[in-house]
Amino acid sequence: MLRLVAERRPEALGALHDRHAPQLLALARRILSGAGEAEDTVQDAFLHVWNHAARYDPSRSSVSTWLVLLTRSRAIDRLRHRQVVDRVHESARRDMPAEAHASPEGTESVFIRERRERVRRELDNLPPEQRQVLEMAFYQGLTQSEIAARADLPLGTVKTRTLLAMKKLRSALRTEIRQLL
Amino acid sequence: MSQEPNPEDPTILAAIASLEQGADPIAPSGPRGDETAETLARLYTEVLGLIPSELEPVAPSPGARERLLAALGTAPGVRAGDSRPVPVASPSPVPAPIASAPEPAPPAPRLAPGPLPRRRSRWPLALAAALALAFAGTSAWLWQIRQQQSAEIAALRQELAAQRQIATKAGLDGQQARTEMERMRSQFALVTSPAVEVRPLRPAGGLQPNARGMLFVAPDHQHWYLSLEGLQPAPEGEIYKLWWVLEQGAPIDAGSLVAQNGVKIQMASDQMPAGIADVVVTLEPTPSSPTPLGPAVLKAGP
Repeated sequence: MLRLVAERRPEALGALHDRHAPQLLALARRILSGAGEAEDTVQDAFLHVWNHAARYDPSRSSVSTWLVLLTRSRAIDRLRHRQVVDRVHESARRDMPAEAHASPEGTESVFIRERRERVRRELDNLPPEQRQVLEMAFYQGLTQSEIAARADLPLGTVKTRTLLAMKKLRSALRTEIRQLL
Repeated sequence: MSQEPNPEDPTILAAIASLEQGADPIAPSGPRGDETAETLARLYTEVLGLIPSELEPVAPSPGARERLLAALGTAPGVRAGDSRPVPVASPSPVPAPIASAPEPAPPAPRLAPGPLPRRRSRWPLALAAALALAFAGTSAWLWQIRQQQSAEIAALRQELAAQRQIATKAGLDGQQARTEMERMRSQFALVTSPAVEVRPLRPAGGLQPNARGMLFVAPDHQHWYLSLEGLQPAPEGEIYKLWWVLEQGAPIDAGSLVAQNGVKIQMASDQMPAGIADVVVTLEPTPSSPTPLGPAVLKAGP
């Protein structure tokens, strides 16, 4: 699909959007807690894909992971920008509940649903302190040092928890990872 | 919370650090070409990519797809830069009437034959001339269309032949790629198996201080995969050999290795003798030596 996008075929980008946008939008909303900015973020990510599809390296990641990391990076950039220019309203925005949304269940495959359940279960199985550092790094874009400062923990402890969480997830999600390879 | 240092840790921390730096998937923590590091980096990148799978998907707002396609600067469904021929309105095969037929002239009064007989004879001539012109024009147009069609058919035939050649070649390439992929998949499955036994090979005897390697042995102790790097080409007349050193009995020849500068050596097999205590690579004076005679250059150790 990305090869067709690299060949500048809009219909291929459209198909990619149909397939991945719901998950990417969920990710952007989780990071930004706002629908409008989340949609813009996903659109930015797909425009980046349109302009740089040739740079995708299949030996480094699956397409879905590439899109996730692209979207996450853009969402975190927006989040940081927002925090810089509008610190006063930061807490209010963070507390703002996400808008009601419709889950595209009609188009969601059983495969994706099962994967979601599995990933959710394995994240729930992580000890809370390990899950916390992982989420702070992934969804809040914090560095290990920032997590240590914010959670009032030694940096070594943060790293150890991150390592343990990642190893557990790798082991528990072996089947899902193999499906992406 | 203390933990033994693990060779995977730098890769995991690099994956986390890559989140802080940008979107590109992480580069392996080891040197480029280090298959183990690359594999681990890939696995942990996919772990990160799976994390948001926990979230309930959100349907984009209506028109999001169209807005995206519109933002590309091209109309949806049209390939950018595509110069598909725009259909040209074809001329009507039947020429349009030149003029509406004149009202039939009223019958001339018999008693006043003047200029009327001359007028009556001029209209049929004009009509005939117009019809003749229209017929000639239509014929010329049809002939031109036919020529264009012939040229188009010839071009399509050529293109079809070229596509058939490409398809044939692609079929062969695809078969090769499938075989290669199957081989790589099996090696990958072996290397990433949780129960795989990994034996690092380290320089021995100081002959090849930069050489190193990794032997992966499957849980069945039959399938194995060896990867070696940094081994300098063997001197003229000598050859590298891999040996299984058994707990009891003479070492078993596992094959010869041809080293080239900067090229990684890979070996794999589905056979392995039982009771292996050590794995050694030696520099042999002759390819047919039944037991190791030359010095060891790499050694796995117990």
